Amino acid sequence: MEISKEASEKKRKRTIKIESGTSGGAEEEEVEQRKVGQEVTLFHSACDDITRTIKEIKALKESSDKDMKVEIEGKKLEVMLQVVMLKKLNRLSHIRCKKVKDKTTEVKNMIDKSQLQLQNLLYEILHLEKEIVKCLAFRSKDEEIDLVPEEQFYKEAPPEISKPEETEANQHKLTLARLDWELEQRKQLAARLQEAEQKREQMDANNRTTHEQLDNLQPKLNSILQSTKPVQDYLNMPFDAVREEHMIAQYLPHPLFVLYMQTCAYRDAADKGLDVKLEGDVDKAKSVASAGPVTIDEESDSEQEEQEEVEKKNKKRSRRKTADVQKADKKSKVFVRHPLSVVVQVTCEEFRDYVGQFGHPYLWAQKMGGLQFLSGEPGAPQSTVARHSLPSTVSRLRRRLQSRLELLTQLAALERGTVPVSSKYQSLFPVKLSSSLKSWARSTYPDFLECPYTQRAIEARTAGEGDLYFRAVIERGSANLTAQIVVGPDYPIEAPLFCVNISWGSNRTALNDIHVQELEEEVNVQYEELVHAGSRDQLLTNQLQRLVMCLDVYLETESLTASQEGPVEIAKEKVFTRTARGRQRTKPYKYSSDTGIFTHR
Amino acid sequence: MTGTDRSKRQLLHTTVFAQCFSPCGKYLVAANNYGQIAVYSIVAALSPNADEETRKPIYSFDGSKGSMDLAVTETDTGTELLAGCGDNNVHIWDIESGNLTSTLSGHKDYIHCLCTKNAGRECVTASEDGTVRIWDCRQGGEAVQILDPSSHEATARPSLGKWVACVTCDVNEDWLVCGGAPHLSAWHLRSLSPMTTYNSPGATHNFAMYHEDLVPCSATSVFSVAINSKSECNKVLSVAGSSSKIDICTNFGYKAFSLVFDV
Repeated sequence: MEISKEASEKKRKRTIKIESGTSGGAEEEEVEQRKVGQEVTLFHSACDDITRTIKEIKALKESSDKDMKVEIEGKKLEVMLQVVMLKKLNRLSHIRCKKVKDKTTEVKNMIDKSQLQLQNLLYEILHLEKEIVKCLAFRSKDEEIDLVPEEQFYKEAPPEISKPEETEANQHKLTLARLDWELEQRKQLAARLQEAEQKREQMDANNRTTHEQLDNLQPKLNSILQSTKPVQDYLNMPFDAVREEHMIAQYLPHPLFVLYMQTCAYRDAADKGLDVKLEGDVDKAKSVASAGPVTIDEESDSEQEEQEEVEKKNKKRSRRKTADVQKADKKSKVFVRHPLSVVVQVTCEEFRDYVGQFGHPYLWAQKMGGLQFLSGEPGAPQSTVARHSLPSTVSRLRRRLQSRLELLTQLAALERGTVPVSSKYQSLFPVKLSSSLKSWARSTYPDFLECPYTQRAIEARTAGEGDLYFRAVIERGSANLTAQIVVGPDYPIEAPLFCVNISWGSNRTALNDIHVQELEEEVNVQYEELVHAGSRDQLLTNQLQRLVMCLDVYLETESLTASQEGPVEIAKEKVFTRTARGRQRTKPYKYSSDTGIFTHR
Repeated sequence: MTGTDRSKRQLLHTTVFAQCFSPCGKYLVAANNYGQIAVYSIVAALSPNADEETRKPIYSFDGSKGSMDLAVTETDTGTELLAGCGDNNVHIWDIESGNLTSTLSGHKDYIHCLCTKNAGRECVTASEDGTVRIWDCRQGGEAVQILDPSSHEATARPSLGKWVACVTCDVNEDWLVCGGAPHLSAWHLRSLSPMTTYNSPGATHNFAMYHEDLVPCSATSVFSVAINSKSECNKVLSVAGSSSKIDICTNFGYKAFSLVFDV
C-alpha cells in the first residue's frame, strides 16, 4: 500500500517536475501555493527515501541475487528521482529566498520614505515655532509714542474716536483708538504752532516798522536838543550835561551807581552844598562794562565802599594755593581798579570862609570861652565849662611855651656845635666821648623824604609835614654819622625821632645793619631814662648825647671784631664786659653810671 | 609820651627773634626783642577776605624781658627740657617733676643754638666759643665729640669772629649743618669733617634748618625761618628778622604778605 502511495506521489512529483520543467513561472506559482513547512517535510521524506533505497540496494547487493540487478536498477532510478526532487526543492527555496528579499527591500523603502516625511514635518514645526517667536517679539512703532493715559483718553477724546463699547474690551482696538487720538491732537498742535509763528512774524514786522520810526525820530530829537542849548545856557539849567553824566553813570559798577544816584537825588532835593562828580576814563569803563561781570567761583567776596572818595575794592583771596592760569587771569581782572570813580564833595561854605578870616577855632579856646558843642547845636556859653578847663589849659600852654623856649636855647647851642648837657644829667654819660657833633642845621620835610634811610619811619607814619626837621652830623676819625631828626609839635611829650646813617667805609643804616637799628632804638625808644620826673625839657640834648656815646660804642666794637691789618684807627677807650651778645650780636650800648662800664640792655 | 606813640616807636624798632607754629598748624606764635609774644591766626591771614586786620596778632602778651641767651628744645619723648644757657652750660630738666636732672658743661662761652638727635638721647650745641659739641644727655659730663668750625681751614672766617650761631642735624643724623662767623658748612658726623661749605661772602648765619632736601639759610638780619608742615592746607614759610613784619611765603618762592607785630 505504501509503495503505491509513494508511487502515486512520485507520479505527482513527476508531474510537478514536468510542470516545472515547462516554465519558471510555474515554479513561482508553486512557491506561492505551498507553504515552507510542506517543502521541509518533502525534503525530509526525500532524504529518508534515498537513505532507505540505498540501504535496500546495499542489502540486495549483499544478497547477491542475480535478478537483483534489475531491482537494483529500479532502485537506482528511484534514488535518482529523489535527487531530482531534492534539486527542485533547492531551486524552490532559492526562489522563495529571493522573493522574501524583494519583499523586505520594498518594505524597507517604504519605511525610509515615511522617515523622511516625518523629518520634514518636524523641521516644518520648528520653523513655524521660530516664526511665532519672531512675531511675538516684534515691536511696533506705536510703543515709542507717549500716549495720554487711558483715563484721560476716555475723558478727553470724542466718542467717535474713543468708541468705548468696542475698545473697552479689546486692548488692540483701544491702542489703535489712542493712536488715532494722538494723531488728531498733534495735528491740532501743529496748526496752532503755525498760527503762532504767523503772529510772531507779524509782530516782528510791526517792531521793525516801529524801530525805523524811532530811528528816524533820533536825529530830529538831536536837532531839537541842539536848538535848546542856548536856552539852557541862558536859564543856567544844564540838562544836557546832567544827561551826559547820567549816560556815563550807567557804566559804573552797581554799588557805585547806587551811591551816585542816591547822592544826586539828595543834592537835588535837599543839599545844594553837596557836589557829585564822575571822574575817570569813560571809554575804558565802556570796555569793562561790555566785557561783562567777572566772577570767580569761590566763596566770600566782599565789596567795600568808602564814603568819601569811593573806589571799588574787590578783595578776594584764594584759599587755594595753586591757581591755574585762567583763574589768575580772571583774578587780575577782578583786582583791576574801575576806571570810573564818584567824587562826593561836601563843602561848608561858611566854615571855609571864616577860617581864613578869623583863624582856626581851637577847641581849648572855645572851652575857655565857656563854649561846648556836645550836640552840635551852639549853646549859650557856660561859666562852669570855662572854670573846669581854664587851669589845665593855661598850665599846659605855659609848659609848652617853656619847653619851646628851652628847645630854642638848646637849638642855639647845638648850632654852635656844642651839646649842652646840663649838670643834672652828666652822670648819664661817660666823661670822655671821642665822637663829636660836627654840624647841626634845620632841614625840611622834602629833604627828609628823600633820604633812603628814613623810609621806614615814613612808612610807619611817625613823621609829618607839621614837624620840625633837623640834620646833625657827628664825626669820629673817618667815620661820620648823619642823623635826620624829627621834632613833633608835641615835644617834649613826644620824643624826637632819629634816623641814622653811619658812613664808615660803607653806608650803614637800619636797613642793612641791625646794630644801627639797635642804636636807633637806644635813642628813639629807650629815652625815658634820659629825663627826670619833673622836667623833660632836656630830652633832645640828652638823646643827641646818647647818640654820640652809642656811636663811640659802635665804632669801637666794630673795629674790635673786624681784625684789620695795620694800625687800628679807632682805639678802644670804653670798658665792655663783652663786645657782642646773642645771635643778633647786640652791642653794649647801655652805660652804667655807677661802674662806668658799658653793658648790654 | 602817650602809649600809642610809644608802641608805634617800638614797632619801628622791632626785631622778631623766634617763631613757632602751633601743633594744629593754624596759629603762629612770634616773640620780639621787647619780650612781647604775639599769636597770629594763619587761617585768617590766608583766607580770601584777609585784610590789614587779619595780619595783626589775634592775641599778645608780655613774656619776660629776659636777657639770658636761651636755646630750648624738647626730647622726642617729651619728658625732658634742654636749655643751652648764658652760663655756658646745658641744663636738662624733667618736665613732669620740674627737677634739674643734669648739667652739661664744657663750653667756654654762652650757647647760641641747641638741637637734639638720636631721639633726644644726644644733643648738639653751637657756642660763642666757636665750637660745636655733641653731648650724651644721659651720661652728662664732658662732650662726646667736639667740632671746631672756627679753626678748621675750610670753614673759618677769622675776620668775622669765631662764634657759631646755628646748628641742625638732618633726619638720618648723618649730617650736621652749622654756621655763624665761620662759613655755613655741612659736616659728616661719622668722620667729623666738613664736607661742603656754603659760601655767602660777608654774611653771617643766624639760622639753619633742614627742609626736605634744601637747606634754607639766612643772613644776618633774619633770625627765624619756620615752615608750617603741620597742616597741609596752611603750608607756608614764614621769615622773621630785624623788622616788625613777619613775611609769609605761600609757595616758597616769593613773599605773599607780611604779618605785623602790632601789639
